[in-house]
Amino acid sequence: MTRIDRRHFLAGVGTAAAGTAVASVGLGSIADADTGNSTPGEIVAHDGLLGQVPFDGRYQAGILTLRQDQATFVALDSLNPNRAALALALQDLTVRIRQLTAGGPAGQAPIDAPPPDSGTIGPMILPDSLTVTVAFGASLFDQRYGLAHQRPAGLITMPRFPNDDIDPARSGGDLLLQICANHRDTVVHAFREIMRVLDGAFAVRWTIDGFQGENRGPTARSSRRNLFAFRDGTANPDLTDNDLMHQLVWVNAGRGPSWTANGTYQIIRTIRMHVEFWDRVGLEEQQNMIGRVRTTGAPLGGTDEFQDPRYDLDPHGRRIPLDAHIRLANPRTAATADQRLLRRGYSYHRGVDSAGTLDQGLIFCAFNQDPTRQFATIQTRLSGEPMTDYITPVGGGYFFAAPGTVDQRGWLGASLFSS
Amino acid sequence: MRFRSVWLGRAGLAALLATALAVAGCGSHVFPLSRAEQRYTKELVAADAPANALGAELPVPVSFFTASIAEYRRYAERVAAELGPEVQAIRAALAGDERSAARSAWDVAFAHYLSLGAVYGEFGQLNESIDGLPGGLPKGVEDPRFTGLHRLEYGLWTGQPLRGLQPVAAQLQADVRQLAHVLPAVTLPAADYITRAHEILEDAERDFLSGASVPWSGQGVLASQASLSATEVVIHTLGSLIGQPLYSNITGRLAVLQQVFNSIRDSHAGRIPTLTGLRPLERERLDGATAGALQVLQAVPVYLDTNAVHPIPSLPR
Repeated sequence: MTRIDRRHFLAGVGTAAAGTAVASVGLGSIADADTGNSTPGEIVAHDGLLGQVPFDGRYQAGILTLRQDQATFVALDSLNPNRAALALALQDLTVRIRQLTAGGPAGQAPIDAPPPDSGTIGPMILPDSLTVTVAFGASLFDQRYGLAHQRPAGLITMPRFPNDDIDPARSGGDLLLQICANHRDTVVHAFREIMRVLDGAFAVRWTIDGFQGENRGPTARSSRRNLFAFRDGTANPDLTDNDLMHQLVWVNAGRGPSWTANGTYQIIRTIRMHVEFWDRVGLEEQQNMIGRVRTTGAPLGGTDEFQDPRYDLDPHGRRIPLDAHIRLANPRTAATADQRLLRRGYSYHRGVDSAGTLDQGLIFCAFNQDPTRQFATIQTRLSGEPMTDYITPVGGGYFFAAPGTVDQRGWLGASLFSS
Repeated sequence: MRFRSVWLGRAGLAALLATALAVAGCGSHVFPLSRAEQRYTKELVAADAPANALGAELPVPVSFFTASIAEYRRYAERVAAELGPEVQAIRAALAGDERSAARSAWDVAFAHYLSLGAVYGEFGQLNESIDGLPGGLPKGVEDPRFTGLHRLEYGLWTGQPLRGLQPVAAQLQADVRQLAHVLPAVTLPAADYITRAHEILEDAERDFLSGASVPWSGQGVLASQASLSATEVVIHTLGSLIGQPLYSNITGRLAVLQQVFNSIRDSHAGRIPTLTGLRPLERERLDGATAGALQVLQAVPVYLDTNAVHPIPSLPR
């Protein structure tokens, strides 16, 4: 725990350099709060509440950002009557996101007026590594706003894949917000504040809350577990490799409409996991379906999570079955190298369904440069994998995460509306 | 500690079962233990049991299941033979423009198809034609590949003109005829058959009690009851292999579930209600009895495992 001097905190916020790494707020005075010597005017911060992810930059935050613990995904339908109104709403949204992610005083109003901020996380908004990532759905490029000719080529209504049971009320949308932070209350606060800005301009189409498993080791690098208890995200490409990100994630200039450069396709799949059924399956079968050891996350036969599964030494699947999930998802061949994508998913828990069974699963979230080359190819290869019986995709959509705002004068979607 | 009691119970009854098998002419086999049980009993043996009491680490030979599967196949062939006339009844109701009669006839055929249970996963594309849902099809309910029972369900419960459903029913009739034809040749591997002991009811919980696979008729209770019927037949055919007291435990749980269905039917004037027609307490009892049965049924594939333990080859570092 750290105790922060309010004046120093204010001086520090908003000055961090643009980029996507999590930056610590520049604080002049941080004291150990465990002493309990808290005095009025000081803010007690802990567990990453001071972490700040710069909002402005070439790319949007929340994509290469180290995954925060909590998330809410919100799909919105546009109610804006025309193109100008839509642009204005996106500008308002940008301003509010910039404020919330920077942190600072929640603001004041005359005592007889509604406060400008709900106040649910206190009078001083600590950034808590909040990111709000904005993406456009294919439907935004219909005839309503004259944007049809600007639609990114790969941005289509999410196709149906075998085993899908997609609920229209839980899929699609004109706009997607991915709200992530270290703590749940920060996410809930941001959602509430953003909707105050968007009310009348956008209506919520669907929303889902996610969390990631806590880091329970053995190392800080160990991947977190999903609700099938297996480590998820082990084979993600290296986020710090800028060249690789331009091969797999970012749309490069000269490909598609000019406004899309430095944006990326965001794929959301809400995947229900039939966890009771899964829990009644032998561990050996579970491991064969995934291709990894449940405890360590190592590929079968291995001892370390990050070991290469060496499929080349196992052509008949004696060690890792040929239809194991990891083998189909990423065959690790030269021919499939450009199909890899960046996964940034979250687990979800929505209570129980009408049959009294747990409504749990995965909010699969992936960023990729070309959904046809990457996501859809992988998904097609996974069709009929043994794990199919234990999962049902029920929602989601294809979206395009806009390029970043570059600097404080920018707004999300500016390049789309100016082109 | 639910599992522990199951394992401990089985460790003790293995010797009893070995005796029973020997009496039945199965030779001098000590009853083979499942892999999980082998691992468990190794620890147990090491701890405090005589090493020779639990004997050889053999998987159950596949040949042990030949009679069970043959018995199930005879049952499935009887069910399949009845499907033709039942689909004919749907066609007659459609021709007579009688929606209520067509729905009732659909109920009968649908439930009967589901009571095939252990074999319906073995028909591949034919199963898709008869029982496929539109979720994975590009055009959903409008997709021309959306056919069979659920295409009829969609039409019958969403007010579509009955005349337009007649070709669908005609195709279904051809498909069930084909089914009766291919059924005798369908192979049912022992490992799959054993797994069906719990999977049929797993599917019922996932697909029918949730309503996911009966989206228009809401006939999840009816469908679940059909799944129970199929499960009862599978368990019956495996009875001598499962042995006591697990067998009694399973049949007891299945009987509880059957009683729930009976009491629901009785309190709804002799008719099985739709999912939304269930009263809250009925819903809880049905969900609970299903989950309770599944908690016991999960032991069957472990207990009757036919696969030998193969150590996983090491991954070179």
